[in-house]
Amino acid sequence: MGINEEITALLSGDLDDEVRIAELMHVLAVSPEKRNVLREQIRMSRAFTAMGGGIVPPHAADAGILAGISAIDREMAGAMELPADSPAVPAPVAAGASWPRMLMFGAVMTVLGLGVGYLLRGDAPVRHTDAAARMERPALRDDRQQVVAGLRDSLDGARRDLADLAAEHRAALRDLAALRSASGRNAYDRNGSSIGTSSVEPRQAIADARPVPTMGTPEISPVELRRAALPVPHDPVATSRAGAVPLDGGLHTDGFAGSAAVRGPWQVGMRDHFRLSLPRVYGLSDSRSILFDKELMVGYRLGDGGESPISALQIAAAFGETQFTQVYHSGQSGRTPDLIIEQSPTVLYGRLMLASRIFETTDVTGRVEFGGGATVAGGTTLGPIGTFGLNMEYRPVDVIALHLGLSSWLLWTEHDGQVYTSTNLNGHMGIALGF
Amino acid sequence: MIATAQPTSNDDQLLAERAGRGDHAAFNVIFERYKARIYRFCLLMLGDEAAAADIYQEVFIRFYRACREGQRMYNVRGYLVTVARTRCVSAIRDRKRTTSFDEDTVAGYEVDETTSDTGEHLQRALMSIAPQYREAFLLFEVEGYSYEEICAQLNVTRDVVKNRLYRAKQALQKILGPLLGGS
Repeated sequence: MGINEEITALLSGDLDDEVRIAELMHVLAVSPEKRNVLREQIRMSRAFTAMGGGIVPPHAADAGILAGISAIDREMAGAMELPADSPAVPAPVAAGASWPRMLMFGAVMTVLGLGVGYLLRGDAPVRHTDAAARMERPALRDDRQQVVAGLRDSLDGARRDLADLAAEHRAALRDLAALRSASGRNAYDRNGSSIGTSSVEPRQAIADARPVPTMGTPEISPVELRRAALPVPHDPVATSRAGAVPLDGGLHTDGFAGSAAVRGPWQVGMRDHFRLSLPRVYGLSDSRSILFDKELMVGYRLGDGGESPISALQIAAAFGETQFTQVYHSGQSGRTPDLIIEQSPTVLYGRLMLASRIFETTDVTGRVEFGGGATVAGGTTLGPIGTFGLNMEYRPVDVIALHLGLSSWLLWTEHDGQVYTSTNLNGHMGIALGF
Repeated sequence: MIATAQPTSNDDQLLAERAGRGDHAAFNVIFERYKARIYRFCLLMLGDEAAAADIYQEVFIRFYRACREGQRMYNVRGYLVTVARTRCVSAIRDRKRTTSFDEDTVAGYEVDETTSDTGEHLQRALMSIAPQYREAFLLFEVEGYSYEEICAQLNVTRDVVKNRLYRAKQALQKILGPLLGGS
């Protein structure tokens, strides 16, 4: 920074380095030229300040302004024509309409979305799913009964086996006793020699006897005796993971077999959108850079909730309030050639969305789904909107879903025969309940 | 020295809300508070009274219409100056005056020391410097904006504002040297 720049910075209050200030003061003290630069800048500042203080707007212009605002009042009140001598009013700017109209528009969009969802609900895929659920649920119960029956059979068989073995044991004991008796009489023959065979046979007899089974013996258990005859119980986990039709008709597909929870197709929730409007317009939009909007959403899952994205397709209607920054030009023939209009109106909106799951994971506690969606029909009082976004859904339990995601919003407005777009970049977080 | 209360942004916001409900008295308060500043800025930027008067009227009429249409005014002064500045920039660009908006040139204006109207000299000197330097100089020296406010208004960095202000003063010093009693 040169000396002249430092002088300018000093007079502007922008030079706060004490070392530099001290050096500058030394230069000013020893250099008449630099002192003259300082004096000139001070005089110039004073001269412009004095000049500015003497500038006042002409009365004719003030009168024109007052007439203009009166014309606006009449226009707002539904006046027919403007006075001929009133100043030209700038081209009308698209802005928010009255509250009742905005509210009605949003309600209409929501009802439209719900109506479409209801109509779709009456179609075959949903009925098919319900029918499949009705057919599949008894199978679940039959399989469980079959498993229980199998276990009962196993126990009964085990009891029978135990009884048989006990009978065999008693028979073996009788044989042993008989052999002992026989060996005792025949221990010696008529010659007085021991009969070796007779001494061996009892031991062999004992060895040939079956081992006595007891409950809890590791080698043989009552259930294991009839294991080969047991029917293989139906494994719902294996079945669902193999891609076959889930036992619950597709309404519960997370592989948590045996869970009685079944997630319904409906979902109602609320989201907080933290929004950044583009472009930034200083002096018009809110001083905060990121704003929060609330949105109410009702969704319905069209598919059967299977593995494919089509099965997880969901339609939803949302209703809320947001703000878009608008910057566009308006032309006026004959006088000023251009007018730049900048505003950031708050609007109510309604939108109909389609969304689907891309992939999911159950590696964490609960289930996490990643998906994407877009608005297929949406509007505000200023014009149509379109959105596209990505969403992460976490379900600690089936009926509660926590959302987190990003989206891009686009608003189309027409002004003076030209179409303009406004963009919002949104992040959202929310909670929904399923039923 | 008597300390006077400066209007706060909250005061302006409340007045704007009342003006939006058709309260002319509230509008008049804002109008009286800022009319001199807006007209002065337009006149010193354009150097043409008629064009300055046109834009001056448009600024306040647009402001009133925006209030009546429900637009929130969080910074009334910023809104007025922004609209005025935007319109002046457009007018300068369309009129294609001595310098284009983005050029860093200084027209050959020389102070006529036979003329005693200092104000006229100053205005002509201002019109001789590039518009981007002119507006930074006006916002800082004449309107009393801080560096931060000018950064927000022009959407540029602090260094850019400092550089434009320095170049403006250098150019004006060069032009107004004889009038200022320079070396």
